[in-house]
Amino acid sequence: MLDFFFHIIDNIVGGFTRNLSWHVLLNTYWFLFFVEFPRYYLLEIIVTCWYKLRYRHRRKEKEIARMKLYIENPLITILAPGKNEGKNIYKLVQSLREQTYKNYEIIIVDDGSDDATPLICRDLEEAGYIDLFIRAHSRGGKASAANLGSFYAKGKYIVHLDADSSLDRDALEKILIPFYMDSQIKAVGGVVKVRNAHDSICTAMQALEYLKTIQVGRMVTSELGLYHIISGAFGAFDVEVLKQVGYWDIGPGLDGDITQKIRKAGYKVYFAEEAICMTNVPVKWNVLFKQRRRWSKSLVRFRLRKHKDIFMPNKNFSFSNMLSNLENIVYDFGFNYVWFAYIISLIFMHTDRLIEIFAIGYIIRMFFGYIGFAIIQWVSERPREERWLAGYVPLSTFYTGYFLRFARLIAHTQELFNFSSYKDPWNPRKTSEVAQSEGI
Amino acid sequence: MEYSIYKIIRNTNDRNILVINQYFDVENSPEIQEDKFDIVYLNISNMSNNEVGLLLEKTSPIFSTKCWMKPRFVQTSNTAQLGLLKILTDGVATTPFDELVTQRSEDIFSQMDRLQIKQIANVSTFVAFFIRLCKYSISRGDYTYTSTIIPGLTEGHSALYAAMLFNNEVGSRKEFLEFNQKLLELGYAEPQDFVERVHICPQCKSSHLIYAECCPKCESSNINEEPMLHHFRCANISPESTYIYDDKLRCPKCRQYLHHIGVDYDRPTDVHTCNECGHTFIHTKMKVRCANCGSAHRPSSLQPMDVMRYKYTPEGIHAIISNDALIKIGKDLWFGYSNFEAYLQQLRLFSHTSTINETLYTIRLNIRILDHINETERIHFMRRMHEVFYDYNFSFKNSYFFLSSKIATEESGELQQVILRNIENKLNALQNECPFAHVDEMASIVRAADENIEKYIRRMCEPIYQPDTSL
Repeated sequence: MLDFFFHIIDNIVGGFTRNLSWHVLLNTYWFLFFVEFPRYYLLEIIVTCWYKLRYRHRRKEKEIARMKLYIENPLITILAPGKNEGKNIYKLVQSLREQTYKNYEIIIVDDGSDDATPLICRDLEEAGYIDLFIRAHSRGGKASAANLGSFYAKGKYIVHLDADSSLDRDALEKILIPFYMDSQIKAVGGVVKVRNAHDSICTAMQALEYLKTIQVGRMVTSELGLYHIISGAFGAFDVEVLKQVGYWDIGPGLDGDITQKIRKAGYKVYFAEEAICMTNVPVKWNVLFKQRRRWSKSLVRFRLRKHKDIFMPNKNFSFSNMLSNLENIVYDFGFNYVWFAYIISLIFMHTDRLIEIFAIGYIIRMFFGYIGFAIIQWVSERPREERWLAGYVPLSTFYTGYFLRFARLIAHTQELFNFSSYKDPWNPRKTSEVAQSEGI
Repeated sequence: MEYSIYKIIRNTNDRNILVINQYFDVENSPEIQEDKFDIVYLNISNMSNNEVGLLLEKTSPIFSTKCWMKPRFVQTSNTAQLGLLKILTDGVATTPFDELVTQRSEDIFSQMDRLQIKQIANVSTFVAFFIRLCKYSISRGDYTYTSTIIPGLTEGHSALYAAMLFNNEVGSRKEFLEFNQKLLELGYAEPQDFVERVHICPQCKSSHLIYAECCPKCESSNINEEPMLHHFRCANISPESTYIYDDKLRCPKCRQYLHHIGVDYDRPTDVHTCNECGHTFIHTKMKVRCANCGSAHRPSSLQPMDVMRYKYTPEGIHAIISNDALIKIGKDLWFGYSNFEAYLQQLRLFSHTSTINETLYTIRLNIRILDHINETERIHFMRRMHEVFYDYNFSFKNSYFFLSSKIATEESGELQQVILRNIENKLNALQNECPFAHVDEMASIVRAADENIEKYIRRMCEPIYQPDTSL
């Protein structure tokens, strides 16, 4: 038994000593060095440096915008559609009552709940915690619920929240500020962080992932003008523009869809990296796997199919829109298949020393992971509270490197050949059937 | 039947029936005496509703001296008036010779003979009035009482006994309830069975409550309900009115026509909008307003009340018919009396509710009471005044006594004389009884058509506001 372990260790050490030359490393781990590193590490380091350099200037700009916001003091509609979310509503409302920005109305839309949600919400409405509670007796899907609430929104901006999320005290103010920085900004996304990070390894990994892909990743895409998804959990929209683009369309992935529609209408979207929203994430791996498959399907359905016109040289053509879509498609869709081929090729080419290959790959990834974590710590507004997640970085290879990629691979393939998002129970059948027959 | 204002006819049982064909004041007509007739029959087919109302009041078996406890029947083809006519009436008969009239009258006479029901002098207090009601009920062989709904007359569940009343505004519900409580305490009545449970106004105990759906924000009932339409294709969801296009349903978002509910659209909910404040809501709020006192309440604050049917006990029947019932209720006011301010308020109220056929008339008496008499005698005099003028709205201020009532407009001139003579006679009798009181002046003030009520009140109260040092 011990001999076996010693043999593995010898192999790894031997692998390093044998393959430590840059030439061999780059040749074997080209995917890591030439695909992942430039996009997810190098680019992020450069943009973060740029962001930090302009930090003071930006702060001043934000101060002025904040002043403008408070001078105008517009009414904001906080819209939280959901099904069977009664138990979370009070938490949400409580965090809203703590907000520094006070001029808001709360609209809760119940999308055909079959639990005590209507009772809870009615009580909250009667107690004055909620301004409007609308209940659809039959489920129509998240988009229709959001649209129902939007129809009655009186505010100048709609802040769309997931019912199971809660906000930092100043999150509302922070998400509204960008509207006053640039009049072309008509939609702003906020940072979504994990509230139940301590619940399990699964949630801790997601907390780490959210920091990397949302807080850092979206800051980077926003700086580059390629920001393409305002999270459904926390996003703010100009009502007039929402009306212009026809509010939300059928999901799944309606948050990415509406961002795309706003971009296509010629407006800017912006990421407010200081507007923090906390949400609960799946605690179990199987639930997470299902959720990610659903999210990933929307890439094929919307970016590849519905919004394919973004690549066409028509009168609405915008290079940044094309680039933002292309970046998403290439990295999350195209390179995912490349990665799969790469893994297969590694297995076939190095069958005799697979353990060694994967062990070295793991170490390189872990090294990259800590670089990523350093960026997170640099960007995050609460690095101290998030430092404990450093212990989970070694696991991120398995999580982001294999688990998520695998989930994406399956989802993309299913959607590509089987149009499986139309069968997803996340949407009621009646709407999915119509959407599929209409090809939307 | 020969047409005349009234006629006295005799039936097979040798009972005299007073048949009234046209409205006239039976009570104040000297030509008809109490012993001239046994039964009253009202042929109201040619009378207006107001005349019927006045006639029913003048021939009331409770209030009228001449018609006291006498069987009363009506002839009508107008079923709309039946709710009104049922009160204190023994039946509806097409002719005075109807078998019902004969039979029912004999039953009543035998019941009254058997029980030896005694008359109370005059109704001057609430208790006396209630006891009269009880007597009436017993004389009709009805030993139970409850509160009920009387179509067209009572608003909500009437007060106990109000079913027997013509004018159910007399007395407040509190006094009715208190009187009933006393009956139960003294063992004069006992609960017989449960009728139903109703909700009553916590303020005035009335069950005439008006429920209305209203806006939860501004409580206005001016609300509008509209179904929401969900278009599956584009997830648009908005009120139906936004879909109406050329008499068809067309999605305002994607401009597609809607064809088939459940296939390309559905109606997931209805939304209310307040036309006053613009508030939108799913669930309306329920507000309750009391039709009696006007107060507004939440449905949860209403009081549940069990409506019971009570029956008189043998002791109760004995006490009531022999005037031995020792009942005293907290607010045993003189019937018809109110303090001067409330009295003026009543006149104002009456001016709003009276119809063109009736008008207000007031007798103003300046009564001088000699200084040397003591308080007991003074109160005795007042009580007697109330007893004598029980059928008037009554009040006094300084040395002036005011007796108000309503009168049919077309007869006001002629009738005034009769009424004044009647009052004079009563006053003379009273003066013999109480020689320390002396009527200095008696004036009759009739409200002219279209006269402003305030002007009328000023005219009525003129001497009060002039400096007078006589008292």
